[in-house]
Amino acid sequence: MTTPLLRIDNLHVSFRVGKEMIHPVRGISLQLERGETLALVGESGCGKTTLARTILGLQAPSSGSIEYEGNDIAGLDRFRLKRYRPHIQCVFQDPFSSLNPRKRVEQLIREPLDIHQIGEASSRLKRAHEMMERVGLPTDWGRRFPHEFSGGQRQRIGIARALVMQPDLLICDEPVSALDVSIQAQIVNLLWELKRDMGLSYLFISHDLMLVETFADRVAMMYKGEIVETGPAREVWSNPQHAFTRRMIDAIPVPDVTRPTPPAFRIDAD
Amino acid sequence: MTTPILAVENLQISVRKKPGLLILRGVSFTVHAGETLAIVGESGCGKSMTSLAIMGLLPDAVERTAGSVRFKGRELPITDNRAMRKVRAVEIGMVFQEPMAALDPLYPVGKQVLEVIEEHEQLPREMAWKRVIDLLTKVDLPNPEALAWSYPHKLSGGQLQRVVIAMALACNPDVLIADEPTTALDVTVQAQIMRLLKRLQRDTGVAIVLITHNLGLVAHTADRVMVMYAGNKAEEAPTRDLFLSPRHPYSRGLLDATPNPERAAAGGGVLREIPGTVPSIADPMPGCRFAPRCPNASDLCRARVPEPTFEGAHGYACFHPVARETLT
Repeated sequence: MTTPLLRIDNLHVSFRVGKEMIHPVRGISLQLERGETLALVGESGCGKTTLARTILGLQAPSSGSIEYEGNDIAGLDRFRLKRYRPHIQCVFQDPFSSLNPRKRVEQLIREPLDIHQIGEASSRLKRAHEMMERVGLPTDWGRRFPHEFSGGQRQRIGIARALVMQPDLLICDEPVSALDVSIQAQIVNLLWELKRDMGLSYLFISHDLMLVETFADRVAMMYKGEIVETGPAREVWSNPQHAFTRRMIDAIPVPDVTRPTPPAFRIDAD
Repeated sequence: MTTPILAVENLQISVRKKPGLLILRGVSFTVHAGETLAIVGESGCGKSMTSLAIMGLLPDAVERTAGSVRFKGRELPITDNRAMRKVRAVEIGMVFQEPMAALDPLYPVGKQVLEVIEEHEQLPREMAWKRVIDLLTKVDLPNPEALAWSYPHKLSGGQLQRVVIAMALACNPDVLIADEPTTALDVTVQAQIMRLLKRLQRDTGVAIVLITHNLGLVAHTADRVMVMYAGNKAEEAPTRDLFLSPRHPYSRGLLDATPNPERAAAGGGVLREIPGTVPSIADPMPGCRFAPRCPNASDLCRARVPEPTFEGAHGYACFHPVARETLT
């Protein structure tokens, strides 16, 4: 058996908020195979973003391991973590706050290359332009600033910035939940094409089970800091096993008038 | 046909200092007692601006340049803030997207509901407070006597939205405008809030104008739907007709772009997207504003604005509509 790209074993994360200790991640074990899209689905406050931050090394775990290609990267200091950073990149939820408003788009996209000193300085701009083209942004917009772009275009900038490092694993934390439906579809399709063409693996964090069901290979349902169910996306949707998954699916309004109104919406029972 | 409870006629809203920059380009619709009309569209389509205009809450930067809003046949003074205070909450209530922003963090939630009642009705304090407790009970908040003294930060998002609904319904309005009432909430809480609204509607007959971008919500809670695009009404239809046989290419595109598990099982895994982006309001397009993104667009569409065509209750503004499906 080959080593999975990412293996998380019995991971715990806790930190202090004011006087209270909170435990957003309580013993999570997960595996992500190379080339796979794993969706992590849960409601707000379930710990999914904390898990993502821990994998990225932005939050120290209190126990457990995170193995990237067999090497434990949990809790590494920033110098040792730097080696792994190019391999694991992230696309954030908010395309407005995640881009420095004072930098031009081509600077933003080449910035990771500058930080990691990849390639000749002269070739980095060219790489940035190639990435812009790849994500569907005209290269002659490179001199513009983020505020000149729409939400969907900014998310393309965020994706270009993450992919310019040629990572193996892209962690997408609610990448489309701030976007309109028609733009959401554009970005999901773009991510899907990029994955196909560049051989990426995705950890896709979302609160929208119906959305991830359309393109994820596997789904992990997260509830109160634990993974309560995992399985192929279609199976989790059509045959949920855990009570939390069933409750969530019962509350999702499917945009189809020929389907019965979900139980959670019916008032005839009151 | 009976007089609609709310009638918006040819409402046009422009940027105040730049005449010709139109945010709403002449929108008309009606709402009848006891029904739920959903207004659907993407950001910038004008759906929130429509609701703010009805409430007389337009931001200073914009103004109404044409059209009217009628409540039970009487024209509302939507540009007169003082006069509108008698309309808000009493005739038309409103629920906003962010319950945390709609409440004052410095006062207990019960006091904020009380304030609405005392603003509009002369009641002894005790009776008014009893109304507050009744309202909090009606919106299914647990232990209302104690909860009335809680500050907003102590409540969950769903509980806060219930308080806001209690405030909106405090003076028994005939119309409730709910602007993305569940967008900030988890899907299980969303279902609870929508069920609460539908139950209150059944019990009081209040008409609901549901402003949303969530087509799933629309499918299961609205009687009629109005689709807006870039300041225009693109289509209007009974919910079932719109979902089974949309006529405007934008409505079709919106439905196709929405994740749908049945369709995903049938084909490929990717979503059908609408290419391009919404035009800027400053873009001086002479024709249909959807034309640059539309698969059916012709020279006619780029030259002239389509007038609405009606087939019974189903209306659409398009020169080249999507073929009609036979409804069963």
